[in-house]
Amino acid sequence: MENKPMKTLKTITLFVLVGFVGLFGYANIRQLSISEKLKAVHLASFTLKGNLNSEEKLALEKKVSALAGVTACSVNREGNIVSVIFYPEQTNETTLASLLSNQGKLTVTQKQLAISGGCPVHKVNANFSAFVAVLDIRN
Amino acid sequence: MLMKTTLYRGLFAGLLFASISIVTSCSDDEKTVVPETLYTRLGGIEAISAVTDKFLANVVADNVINERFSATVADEFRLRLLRTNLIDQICAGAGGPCQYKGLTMMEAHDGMDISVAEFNALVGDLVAALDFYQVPTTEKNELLAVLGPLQSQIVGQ
Repeated sequence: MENKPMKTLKTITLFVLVGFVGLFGYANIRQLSISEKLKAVHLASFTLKGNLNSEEKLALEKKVSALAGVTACSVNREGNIVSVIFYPEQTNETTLASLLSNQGKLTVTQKQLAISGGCPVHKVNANFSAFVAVLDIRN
Repeated sequence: MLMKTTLYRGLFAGLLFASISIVTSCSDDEKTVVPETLYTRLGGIEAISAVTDKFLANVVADNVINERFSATVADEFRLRLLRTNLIDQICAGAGGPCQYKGLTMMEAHDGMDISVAEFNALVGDLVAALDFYQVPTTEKNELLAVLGPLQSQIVGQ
C-alpha cells in the first residue's frame, strides 16, 4: 500500500506535467502575429556631457542610426540623453558609446534604468510571454 | 449524318456562348476600386515597426516622460512586449492584419495618474517619429485621429 506523501507527490508531479504539456502545446500551436515574428531588439540609454547644438545633435542621431543593427536613435531636446534601439547580435552598448562620444568630444555614460515600476507592460505578463516564447520550438 | 451536324452546331453554339460569357465577365465596367487602407499607405508592418522604434527611442530620451518607461525598457522581455503591443495597436488601428493583445488602456494605466502634459509629450514623440520618416500629413492625421481618443482612457486613471 502506497503511503500518503508518495501519493501526494505523484499527484503534484502529474499536475505539473499536464500543465507543462498544455503550455508547450499552446506555445507551439498559437498563431504568431506578424509583429511577434519580428526580430527582438535591445534598448540602451546614455547620458551625454558636452555641448551639442541642434545641427550636431541631428548629425549624431543620423550617424548612430546609420550603424548596422541600429533600428532607431534619438537625442533629446536638451542634448543630454540618447536612446538607441538595436539588434544585439549586430551591435552592442560599447560600440554605441564609442560612436556617441564623437571622437572624445562628449562624455558618454550608460544610464542605469530603474528595475521596478514603469508603464504600461506589467512584469508578470512579460515573464509569461517570455516563458511561452522559450517553449516555442518553431523559433 | 444529320445527327452529327446537329451535334457540331450545338457544340459550336455552346463554345460561342462560353466565350462571350468569359469576355463580358472580364469587362472593366464592373471593376470595383478597393480603397487602400491606412496600413498599406503607411508602408505595411516594416514601416510601422520602424516608426514604432523611433517613437520608443524618442520616449526614452524625453525628460518629461522617460521615468515612466524606465523600468519597462530596462527589462528585455517587457520591452519586447511593449514594442509588440505598440506595433499591434498602430497596425490594427490603421486597418492592418494585426490584433492588439495587450491590456486595455484603462487597465494598463490604472493608478498611474498620468497628466495631460505627459500624454501630450507622448503624442509629441509620436509626431516627431512620423515626421522623421516623412509620413505625409494625411496619413499622419488619420493615424493620430485613431489614437487620439485613447487620451480619456489613459489620462488621470
